[in-house]
Amino acid sequence: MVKTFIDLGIYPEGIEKEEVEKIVIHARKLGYTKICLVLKSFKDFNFKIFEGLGIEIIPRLEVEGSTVNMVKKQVLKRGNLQRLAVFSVFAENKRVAMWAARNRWINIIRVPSYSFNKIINWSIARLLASNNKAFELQTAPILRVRGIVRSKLLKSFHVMVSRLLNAKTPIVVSSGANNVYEMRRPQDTAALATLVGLPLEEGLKGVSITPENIVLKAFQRKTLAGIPEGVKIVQKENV
Amino acid sequence: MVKVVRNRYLVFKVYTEKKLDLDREDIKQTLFNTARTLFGEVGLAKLNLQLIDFNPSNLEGILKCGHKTVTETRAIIATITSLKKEPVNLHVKGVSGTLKRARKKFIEKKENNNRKKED
Repeated sequence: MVKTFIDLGIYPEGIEKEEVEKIVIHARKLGYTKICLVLKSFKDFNFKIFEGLGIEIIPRLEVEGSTVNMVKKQVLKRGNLQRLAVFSVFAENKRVAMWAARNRWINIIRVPSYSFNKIINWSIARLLASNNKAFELQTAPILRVRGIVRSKLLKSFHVMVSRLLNAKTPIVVSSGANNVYEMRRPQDTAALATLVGLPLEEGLKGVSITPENIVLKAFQRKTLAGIPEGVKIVQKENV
Repeated sequence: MVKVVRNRYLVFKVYTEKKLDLDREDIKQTLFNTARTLFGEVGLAKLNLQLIDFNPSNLEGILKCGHKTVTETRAIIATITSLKKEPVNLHVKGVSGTLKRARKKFIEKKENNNRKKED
């Protein structure tokens, strides 16, 4: 039975306390136990004021750029990776996506919704799966458009989701909401994901188990367990 | 005898910050139009949708569908973004196999809790 639900992608329009508080309270009402706030800077944002609301808030930093160097610069500039929990990249092209899929600091990859097929090809999908990086599927773009535009978007999502499922890439389903009106219950988010060909079980995993694993992995970075094994030096006699 | 189509009753709630004068017809029109836009006329026929009840005071309603089309119905409800040109957010409070149970579990329970708080 799935109990912990996490929304990994909430993009508040501002960092004013009232605005964020409204989102946090609404997320709790909808049944989420943890949410990730994506903010450009966490310098002026105080997480402690939301401690009593009964929901865990996880910071997430997202970098974007059209070239690998641009993204690298942003990573270095905003670095401070030890303090942050979840790190994601908004890849605008294949090269950035490929770089992000290989980088060990990156947890999630997101691409522009209009060019899924051009960016995420089979090799990137396999690379993401082998490096245990998740791909983020947001439901807000589906809600923002209507008619033929939505139809085209769903088609693009459909092709990409089938590719990711074949490659066994972990898929995170998040709201991608800017305000409370774009937020949905976890079960409803999973139901929305079925419109793009993601089975309901996978959709429910995408709002519960997969994001939880990502958060755990991101938190591990802060501990010794997050340091990868290096070269082991042994004495000559023992060889 | 086993029923071919078993019904499911979805209790939904409309979330809005502004006060809206909504009636049953508004909700029904919006739900069916959204269903037709998403799944087409053939898909809508298969969904077996029926708006059972809508309470304008607490903005809660009950929608009937077939047991195999609960996910699609949830998707329809989640896709609604505006009512009377105002932004809204609809979410499913719960799903039940009988109307009596749906009312008892998701509507009356909340009313009882509210009464207890007032006392």
